Amino acid sequence: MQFTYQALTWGFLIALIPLLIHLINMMRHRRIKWAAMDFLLQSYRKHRKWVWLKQLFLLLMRMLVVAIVVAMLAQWDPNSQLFSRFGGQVTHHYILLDDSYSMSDQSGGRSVFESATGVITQIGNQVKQLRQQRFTLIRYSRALQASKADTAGDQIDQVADLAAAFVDKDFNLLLEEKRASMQVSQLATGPGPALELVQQLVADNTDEKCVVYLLSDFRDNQWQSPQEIRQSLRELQDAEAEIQLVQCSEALHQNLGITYLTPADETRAAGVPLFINVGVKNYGNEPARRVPLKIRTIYHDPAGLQTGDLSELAGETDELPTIMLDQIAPGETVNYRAQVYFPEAGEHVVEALLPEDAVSADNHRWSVIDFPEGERVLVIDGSPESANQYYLTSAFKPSQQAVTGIEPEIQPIQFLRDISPEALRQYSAIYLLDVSRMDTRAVENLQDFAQSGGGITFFLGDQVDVSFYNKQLYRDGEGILPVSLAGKALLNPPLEENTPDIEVTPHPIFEFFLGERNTLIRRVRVEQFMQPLDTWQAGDNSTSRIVSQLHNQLPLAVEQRFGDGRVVCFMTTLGPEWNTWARDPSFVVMLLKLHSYLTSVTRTQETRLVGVPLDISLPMQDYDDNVKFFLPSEDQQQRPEQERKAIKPAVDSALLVASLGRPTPETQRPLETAQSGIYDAIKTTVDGDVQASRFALNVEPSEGNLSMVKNQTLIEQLDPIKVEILGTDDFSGTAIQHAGGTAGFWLMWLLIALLIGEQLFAYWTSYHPSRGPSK
Amino acid sequence: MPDSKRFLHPEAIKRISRLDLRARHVVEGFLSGMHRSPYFGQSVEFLQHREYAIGDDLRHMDWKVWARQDRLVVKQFEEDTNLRCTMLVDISNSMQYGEGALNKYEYACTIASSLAYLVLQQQDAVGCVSFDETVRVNVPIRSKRNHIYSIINSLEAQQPRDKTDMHAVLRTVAETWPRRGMMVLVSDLLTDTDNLMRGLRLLRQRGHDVLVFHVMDDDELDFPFSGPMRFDGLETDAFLNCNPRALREGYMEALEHFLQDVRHRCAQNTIDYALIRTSQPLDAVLATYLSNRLGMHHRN
Repeated sequence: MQFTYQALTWGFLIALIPLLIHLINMMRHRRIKWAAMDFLLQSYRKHRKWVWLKQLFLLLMRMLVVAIVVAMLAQWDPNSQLFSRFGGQVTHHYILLDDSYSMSDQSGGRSVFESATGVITQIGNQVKQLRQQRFTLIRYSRALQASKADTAGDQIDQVADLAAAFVDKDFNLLLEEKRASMQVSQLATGPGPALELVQQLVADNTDEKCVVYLLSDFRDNQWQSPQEIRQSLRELQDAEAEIQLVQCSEALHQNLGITYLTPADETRAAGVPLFINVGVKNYGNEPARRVPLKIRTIYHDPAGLQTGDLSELAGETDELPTIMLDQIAPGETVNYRAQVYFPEAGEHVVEALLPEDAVSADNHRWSVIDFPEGERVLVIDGSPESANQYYLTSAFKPSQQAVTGIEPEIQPIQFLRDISPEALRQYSAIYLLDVSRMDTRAVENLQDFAQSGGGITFFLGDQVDVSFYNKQLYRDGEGILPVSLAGKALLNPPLEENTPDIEVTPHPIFEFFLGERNTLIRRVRVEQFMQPLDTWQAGDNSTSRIVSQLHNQLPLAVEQRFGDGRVVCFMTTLGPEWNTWARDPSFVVMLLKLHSYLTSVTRTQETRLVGVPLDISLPMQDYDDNVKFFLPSEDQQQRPEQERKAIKPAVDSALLVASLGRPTPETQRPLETAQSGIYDAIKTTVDGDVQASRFALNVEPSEGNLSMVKNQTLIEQLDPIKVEILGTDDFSGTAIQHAGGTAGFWLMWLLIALLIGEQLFAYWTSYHPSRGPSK
Repeated sequence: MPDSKRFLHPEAIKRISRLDLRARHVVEGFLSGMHRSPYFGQSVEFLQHREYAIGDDLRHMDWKVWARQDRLVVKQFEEDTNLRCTMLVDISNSMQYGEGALNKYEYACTIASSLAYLVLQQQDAVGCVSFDETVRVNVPIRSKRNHIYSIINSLEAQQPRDKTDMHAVLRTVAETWPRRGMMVLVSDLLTDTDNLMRGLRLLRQRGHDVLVFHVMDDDELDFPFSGPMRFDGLETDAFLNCNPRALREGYMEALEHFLQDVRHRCAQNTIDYALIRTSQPLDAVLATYLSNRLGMHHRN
């Protein structure tokens, strides 16, 4: 016989009390001198056996009533022991624990995650008192890791903190040990991977009764439209699993989070100031006032890296003056632009911090910005006496003091023919100024350059061979030229005097001029321009589009994507032959914006989230295969270190790849990239030079949105799936209901029936006083 | 209007300790409620005329009828002498049961003394026999007013004891008082029914008019006990541990059977029978007595 509260089974001794009362009553009877003894003895002789039997039956009934009450209090589990010998079911408790960083939400010194682990302990305590119970504990983060590694269901041991553990006397100890080792992660994982894993486990164990608990904070961003979750839950329900959603968060707390920290899309070079954009979002329901935002820069001197030791990776930290954000309305994201400066080339770090609030993980964000020495730009000038390149170099390199980070390099057209594609890729952009024509080899080099992500700009002019451009460069929309040319034409003055020749559009190159205060470009006069063919239309057979047009609605600049790169064609000259632009102040601005736009493809800032693996690719002939990773830590002097052997991803690969945080089915290890911050990878060349690659991993900002889905909404969203939604407070006793709920129900009815039967029988046997006076 | 009979209730009677006062109280309380009783004084009034026969006492000759009708007739009365009434009071051990205002013995003594008082008030003669297995005290029949004290003294001097042997006692009584009269038996009749009926029949055969007051306590008639109890017999050594509720049905059956039997056999022998509860007011007893006297008058 199995009971939830074994200690209460001593209460069955109470069932002897009716017997004791009976015996005591027999000894403590009232004595009376009686005259009519004959009638009494006559009655006794006649009914003696029947009276004795009725007394015995009544006594047994009363003892049974007491026994049933004790059985109900002790939570009799009929599914165990005796019943299990005849094939009784095992109850398997699957605990799916949300350890995404929103669970670190603090309330009264106790995080939501701690409340959730407290619920696990409560379940464990109840389950311990039952038999035939198994316990599986899976964290969302581990399930996500398993899904990425394509872990099979039979390797659940490597994923789960507790995998189908039989509940025995040491279970609580084991559970507490696991609980102490569990911490909330910085991931933003939904229940999907964990549910899929459990689905598989439930399907594999059809002979078990399954109870699935989801311990989470049920935030809006994951549960507002839970299509996939509903599908998973439906399949669990179809497998006859009982589903319980345990809401571990009690209230919405105010939280601010940094949603992005990105450098402006501008030329980056050592010694060139760079704008960075910081976004701060208010996830609470009250306005946040006077929010201090700190920005730090960490400069890493490339010459300071000698041995690759941790001490060489600290960098020089410089903190910008604290910015005070006056007010952030609920749900609003405030953008702040700050300028940072690094004197030397290298991968430097920018860090933004907010003060501590309910969730700390999203108060900190990092960005690693690669600053090269400068951007090399190839300039081919086909105009007589190379008149155009003067204006270009003047714009990119106005003086020794004014640094733009752009290094123009003037070359003849033959240079394009002779240079190798690899060498050409060292340039960030190529400017072709009034080039008449070029060799086929040069055209191939240009195409290869653009396809690999380089930026090309054509400025046309008198020297341009229209026929060559159309045949070799435009090639019916297949070439790198975005527009087919008809020939040069004069631009008639506008009908209205104040109408500018150039109409700007909201394109990255020209949007600067859209503001009312920047009217410089309105003064530019275009006298001649290259007309496109009448048959040409933007967007035909290509990605071409008009970036800017003249007042006669013909294009001034046309762009197209070619491979990974961008190509922009200006239908006029760079120099002042066909226009007055080169002498207008807006020219420099336009050129710098043009260059930023052309090179932004290669400059795309990679946003890495925690949990993604870090891969370091190394040319096999140049690097040693040992790579050392330093993980982020609060204490910069005690950063964890991981060594990896770079391996060939494919047999014929010339690259070696060293990975951090990439789980494999064979080697499940705790997620190595689950911590936000800066990761340093130290690699060594075959010559013994030590180099560092630096990565910033940040949390998914949307997880910082703490607004919770309402229980009623949740039920409606999951309908028709039957789920029970519980809180941490009213959770106790739930497991018992599973174990002994049905038995308790039947025992209660049996008890009621027995009590009614006992009363009726007692009346029938005249053991209850009649309505009249009694003595 | 005050109820004069409220003083006849056992609770009220119990407050009067002296039996003679009790008897007076009961009778006078009863009579004050009767007013024009149809039964009062009938025994001394003219009954009928009968033709004269040789040997009749000339003192009873109705000369006025002879003068008017020239016929010799004699006047016939209810009785020539006073009524001879004997109180037979059971003082066996079983009579001392009772938890109400009066136990059976006290109630029986009150009945006996009240009736004796009433009889003496009517100029009739009364005697008293108290008995258990045998006749314990025999107070002869007298009609003097102060004879009531003899009867009361004899009742007060006794305490209930021993068993009852009704047949032996009634036979003794029948032999002691061969002259016919009224025999009033006050008892709980908890004895052998056959013996009882043989004794009563004997009295009837001797020409006695028999009136039985069957005195029972409420407990004996209703058996209201509950809870574990031990019953010890008052006239036997038998005892019984039991839950009385379980035996009540059988007890009531046996009691009802006994009462039916007694009532039936009394009716068969023209014996007036009245079942009296010790909780009942005493006027019921006196009413029963007078009713019996009327019935006896009519039977004659």
